[in-house]
Amino acid sequence: MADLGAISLWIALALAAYAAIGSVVGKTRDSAVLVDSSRNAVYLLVLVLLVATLSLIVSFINHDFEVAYVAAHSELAMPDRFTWVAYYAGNEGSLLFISFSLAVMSALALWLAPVKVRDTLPYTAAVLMVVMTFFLAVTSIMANPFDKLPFTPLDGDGINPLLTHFGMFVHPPMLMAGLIATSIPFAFAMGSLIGGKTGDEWVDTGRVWGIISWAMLAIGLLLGSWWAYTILGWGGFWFWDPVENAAFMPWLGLTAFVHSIMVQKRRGMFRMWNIVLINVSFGLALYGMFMNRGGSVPSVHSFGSSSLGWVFLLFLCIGILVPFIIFFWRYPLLKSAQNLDSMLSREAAFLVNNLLLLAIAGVTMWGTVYPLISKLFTGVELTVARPFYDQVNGPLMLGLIFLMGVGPLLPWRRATPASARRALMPPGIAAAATVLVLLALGVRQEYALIAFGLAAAVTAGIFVEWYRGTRSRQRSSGEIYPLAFLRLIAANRPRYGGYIVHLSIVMVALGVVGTTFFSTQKDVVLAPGDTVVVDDYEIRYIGTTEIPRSNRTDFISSVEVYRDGNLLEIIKPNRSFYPSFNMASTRAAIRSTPVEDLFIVPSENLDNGSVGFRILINPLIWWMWVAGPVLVLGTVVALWPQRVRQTATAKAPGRVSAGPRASTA
Amino acid sequence: MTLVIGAALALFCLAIVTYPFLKSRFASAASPRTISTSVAAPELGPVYDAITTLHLEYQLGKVPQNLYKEQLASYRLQAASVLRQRFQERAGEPEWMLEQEVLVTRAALRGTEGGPRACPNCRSLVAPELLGCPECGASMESRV
Repeated sequence: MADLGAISLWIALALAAYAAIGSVVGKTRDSAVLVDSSRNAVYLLVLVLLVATLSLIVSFINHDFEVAYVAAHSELAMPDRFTWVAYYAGNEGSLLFISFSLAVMSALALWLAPVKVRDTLPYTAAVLMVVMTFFLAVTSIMANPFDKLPFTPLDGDGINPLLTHFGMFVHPPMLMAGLIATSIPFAFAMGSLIGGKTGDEWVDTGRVWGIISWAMLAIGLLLGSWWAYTILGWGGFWFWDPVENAAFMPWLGLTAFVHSIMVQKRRGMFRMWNIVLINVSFGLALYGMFMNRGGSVPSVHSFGSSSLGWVFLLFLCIGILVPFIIFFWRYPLLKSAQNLDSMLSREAAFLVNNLLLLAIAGVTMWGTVYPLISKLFTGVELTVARPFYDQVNGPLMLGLIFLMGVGPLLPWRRATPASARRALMPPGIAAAATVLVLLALGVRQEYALIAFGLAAAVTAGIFVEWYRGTRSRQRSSGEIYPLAFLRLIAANRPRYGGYIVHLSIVMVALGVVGTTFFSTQKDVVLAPGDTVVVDDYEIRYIGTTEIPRSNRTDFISSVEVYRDGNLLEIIKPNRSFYPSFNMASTRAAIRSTPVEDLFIVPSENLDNGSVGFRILINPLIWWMWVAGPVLVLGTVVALWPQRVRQTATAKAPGRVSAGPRASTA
Repeated sequence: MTLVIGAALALFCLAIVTYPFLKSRFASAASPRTISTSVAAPELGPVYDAITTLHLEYQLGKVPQNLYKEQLASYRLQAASVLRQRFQERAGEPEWMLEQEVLVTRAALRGTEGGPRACPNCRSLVAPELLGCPECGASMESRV
């Protein structure tokens, strides 16, 4: 099967190169046949890369250790269910996965492209296929997952123990697909620019694919945080590691883009700004992929042995320079159709939101590359850690949450001071009431008070919007409240889907604030029968069972959790030692409630039966994990297609005219 | 066996990629010509969306009545200018002109009730379901 995979890769490379060249030549020479042929090549890439992917998966299932990649990332003892994880566990497989994801998304993007972008679609296809050609060329020539060893080992090296976690089934593919998905809105923007369509033709498609890419990155980041929380054993979820930052920065860029593109869609404004934003997001996504593969900043996440860094660096430079050259070429045509009517408007709120998001991305970038810069200028590699990010990004993020509460309550174009005051009154009252209650409960941390107040304001603003909309609909149509609410959302999906996503961001903020300001940690060594008290929990260590497995030894500890003298639960933190990797992997035992998590992880098993435990109480972190499904729900609502609007029928030129239907006004 | 499947895959890809060339060579030259008579203006989509949003924001109490009316009038004018441009672009196409004549004749045969009305400002004929004149933006609401 490996040979078939290798052949498929080369066919895919030929198809991608053909599609890139054929699309441009076909368009410039006005050859519809060549354009169609090139588009067929794009569709074929899905089939061919599916064959390559299946070949690799079958090689894993058949334990074909003659294939170097299979031997390096699996072993006979590896359960079949981890084959999917092993597929992208290494550099070569992950590049194949990225290529396959891009092929699927490119085919869908071209197939579903609306009529108004059809004229520039060949350029869009060409941009996508240039990116595809790069990835396939690197995969085929420099990091081929089907390369064979000169001999066939009896067993493989095995999969990295840290990857044997449920989160790994979704987190890496989501991040990789999310990063490469930025190519789609980027390609539509570039295609329009190259084709001379400098209006708003690409906006709808760019928005949809921008949101898809944004959501994939968001889910990937959340699942990565969950994975780190449950398996890495330090009790946190975000380390500001360079590779984490590399996925976070394009997400920030896309967050700015999906807001800003709404302004162009609604008002025909921010045309230049949106091109800049999508270029920046694409550049940051390329930077993320570069960091993973030989980037010069060390990270626990990167493919350590990769030597592809310089290739990705070169592509990164081209990927940043060329789009901005195209942008400046078309700059004189990119004039907005409207001007900002007022600073007290939703457009203005989106603009400030964009600036804050880019400021956070800039700070994160600075922190990420600071070790390099310090080494370059002082000869000493200085790294910045969490306090730097907390101090600089913390206030900026609070500003973002504030805007998340205010922005949606302002109307488009212009609000009067009176209407703005009326709209902001309920969230303001909710924020003040929350702060007062928390002060009464003894909370004194200023940042936490501000954050909880803002979270309350955002939540109140959203619920008041829902209530007012539902009530208005109920009064005008006579529908019962639940039906009126559902129909209100169905009739304004982008708006209300966005509100649901905002709720999920508030949930994430609750988790971050809860764990940052109110977490309790205790490191203890307990002998069997020992008890330790952490806050109002009493924790009693019973003992550890040692279970030898074919590739590891599991040490499963039993711990009783009491509160007020009542046994709440017996939980079992787990630590496994993998001799072949000389590595231990931990699984925290977590008693999770919406109020707080009790987190217990064994850090060391001593010879006398004692165990070193790290015990944490993490308030409100439960909300962070619940935010994931809510975010998905909001994204689906926002993206769900609306019924196609009837276009007014023309009567006669210069004699009978048609315009917007009265019913819409 | 693997090589055979690989070769078959390559041939299949070649066939699909060359299919448009073969199709164009053997396609009948006498394929029927279609005449588009639609005045579909995709630029109107954002204007309709903006009006819907404005209406919602008015209902939610975010936009006061005077702003609502002012913005609604500007959106109508925007839509009108888009349509007018479309009419001007297509006015020279004989098939389209013929289609419009047919539509006007049909409207006349249906009688005056529910038919087009003259704009009180510019005298253009305006479709019955409209509240404003797409030519000049004048209100037709008093006639509804």
